Amino acid sequence: MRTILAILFQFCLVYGITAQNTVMVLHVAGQVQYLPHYGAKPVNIAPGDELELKGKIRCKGSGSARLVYEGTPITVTGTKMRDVEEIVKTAVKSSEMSFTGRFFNFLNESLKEGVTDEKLKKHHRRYMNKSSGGIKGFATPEATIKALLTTTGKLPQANVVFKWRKVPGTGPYLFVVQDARQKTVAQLLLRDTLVVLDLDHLALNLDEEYTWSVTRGEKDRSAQIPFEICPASIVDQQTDLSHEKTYQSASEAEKQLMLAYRLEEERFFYAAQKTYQDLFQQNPDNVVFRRMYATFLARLDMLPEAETLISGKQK
Amino acid sequence: MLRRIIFPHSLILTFLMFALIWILDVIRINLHFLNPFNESIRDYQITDIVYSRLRDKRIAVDNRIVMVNTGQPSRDTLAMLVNRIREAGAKVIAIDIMLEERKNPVTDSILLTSLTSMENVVLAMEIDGVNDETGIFSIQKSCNPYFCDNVYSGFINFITNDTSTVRIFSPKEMTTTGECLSFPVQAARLYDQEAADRLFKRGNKVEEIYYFGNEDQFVQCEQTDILDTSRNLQGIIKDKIVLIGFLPIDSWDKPMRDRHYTPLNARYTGRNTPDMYGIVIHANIIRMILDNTYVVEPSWGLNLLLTFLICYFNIHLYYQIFRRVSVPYHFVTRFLQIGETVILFFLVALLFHFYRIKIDAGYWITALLLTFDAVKFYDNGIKKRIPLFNKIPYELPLSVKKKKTQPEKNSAEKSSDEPPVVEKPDNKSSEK
Repeated sequence: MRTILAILFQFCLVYGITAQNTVMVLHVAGQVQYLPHYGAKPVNIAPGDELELKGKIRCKGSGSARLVYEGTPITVTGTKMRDVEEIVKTAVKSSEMSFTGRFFNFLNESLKEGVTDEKLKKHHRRYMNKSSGGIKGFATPEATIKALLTTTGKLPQANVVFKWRKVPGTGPYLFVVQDARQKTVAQLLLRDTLVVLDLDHLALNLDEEYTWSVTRGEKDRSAQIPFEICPASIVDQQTDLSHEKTYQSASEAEKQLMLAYRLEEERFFYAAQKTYQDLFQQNPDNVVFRRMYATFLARLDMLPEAETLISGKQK
Repeated sequence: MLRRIIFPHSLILTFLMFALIWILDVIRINLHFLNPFNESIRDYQITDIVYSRLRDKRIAVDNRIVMVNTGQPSRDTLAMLVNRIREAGAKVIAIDIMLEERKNPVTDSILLTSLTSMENVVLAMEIDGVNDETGIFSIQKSCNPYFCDNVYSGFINFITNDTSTVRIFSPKEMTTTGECLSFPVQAARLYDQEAADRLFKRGNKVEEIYYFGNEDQFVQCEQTDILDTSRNLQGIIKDKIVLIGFLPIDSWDKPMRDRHYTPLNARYTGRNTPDMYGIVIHANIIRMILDNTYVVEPSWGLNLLLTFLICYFNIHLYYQIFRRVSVPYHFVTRFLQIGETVILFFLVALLFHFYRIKIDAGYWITALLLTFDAVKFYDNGIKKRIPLFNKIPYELPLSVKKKKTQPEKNSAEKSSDEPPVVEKPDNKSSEK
């Protein structure tokens, strides 16, 4: 019995030692960020990097990354923050098959009847979704309610104002907060196009990503806007500019501008908007600050607000 | 022993089958009216299925080769890239970009300085103007002597026609100025001389490319990754072969420039799109050379022997079935044909997948498909009409020595060796 236990223990030890705990980055397109642990400063990954399984990963914009874990290739896309371990588990599950299995799978597929010309002519409509001549471009968005993107990215724990644009029609708006598994965390019926939430009072975890969305009736809905909550201490830690020489030698207004830009870079859009706004209100005649604020709003797809800001000065 | 292996009629039939296959092979070439069909399957091999459908999708990342996508770089950017890669300690830099002409004297000069600042730099060039009699190429083009004369170079020509798949490559060719190595061979040689020597020792004029996979088998960097000065590149580049070239995998329009057909193409027959960039093919060749993982092809003689054996034993099996159970012969043999074809395909796939042994099973399968009719035609037609064939026994007679010592047993065996006369009407006619 002891011998068996000893062998079992040794096997577990060897397996534990040899098991790969890192994922290798093969290729990166655009910007992809990795967080080794919660609260850590996100780092941009590059080909050849080894990422630990316990970390989290997120792509910026349309960025993507190609990873490899124990021979299994994994493609990561999307702006949602995801556990590396979870991504790996899903990929590994779907790629295990022996040579014989693949062979018989191929034979089985070969036995299935292909699409003949006759079949194609008879049921042509069934086969019209496979190819089309043209490229993807601008189109009517699926989301009819436009959610304002200042409440995406990292949000403070205290009162946060979630806003969206008004759409024609009647009836209340349904505001919903969901977690990564699409489980509803909070739900509110509202008449207005904004809601103020104290996120601290909701059952939200610090290291998880959530989404908020608005619907009205069956037709009108907004896109799901991802967000996460971030304590003030981490905001200060990740946007600390005090050690930089240019920051030290800058004027107060310039410091505020630099901070606003850093906040935006680190996805603290809500805090960045407040900083830009404060800066603009303190210096209403400063064209540079006005334009910086307007371009920030434009980057968040808030073009009407940006236009108003610019045209307001011109008047 | 021989009596149990050699069956005269099966042997005669095997030779006749070989003659038939040879005739069909000759006729096939002249079937011009089948061209559209011929075109689509002409460039197909069974091993394509192994590559495209039966290959393990798992990746074994090569830690000796790094690919860098430059897109369409300017020469000063290329110079900066070379400098960064050199500083990171790369062992070989292979640039899969044809520096055909001189452009700006200043940037050209900067680039040349960068290229010559490192010993192991390989530039891409093309060879052309072959003399059919001597096999010597007279033109080296696509690389300006300003660059090529100062660093190593290698030809990037693939062996293919306009539509076919890149399966083989030429390691070296003779030019009017001397021997010239191919681009991947030159890079592999500078990285590992022993590996290149192994290739040259094989002495093959062309080598079959063993594809490890697509670009995922190698670390791929964008030029921005290399030019980012905040990054330390030593970890991924030091002592490695860095291939610089056109690899726009993530480009939204997926450009077709420098893309080629390979056996890895998911659609292995008919019309399809090229699937692999040239730089990835070079990387696969380099890896094959370094790993000594060449494709093994049996010699012509061995192939002939194998085909003969398979054909012979198959004919004997079918002949036995035909003689013993003539009524369900059709039913049994058709199922056998399907089963044997699958088993042969499995064997060929297995040998290539695990041992890189590439066997041409085309003749085996042709023989298998023809056996059914050949046995019937021989037994009902040829054998009856040619008296000499009709006199030949189905099995070899026992030796004289044995006959003397065991006369009773021999006579019993002899009688059992004779074909059954009751079941088959054909045998009755032969008795007449």
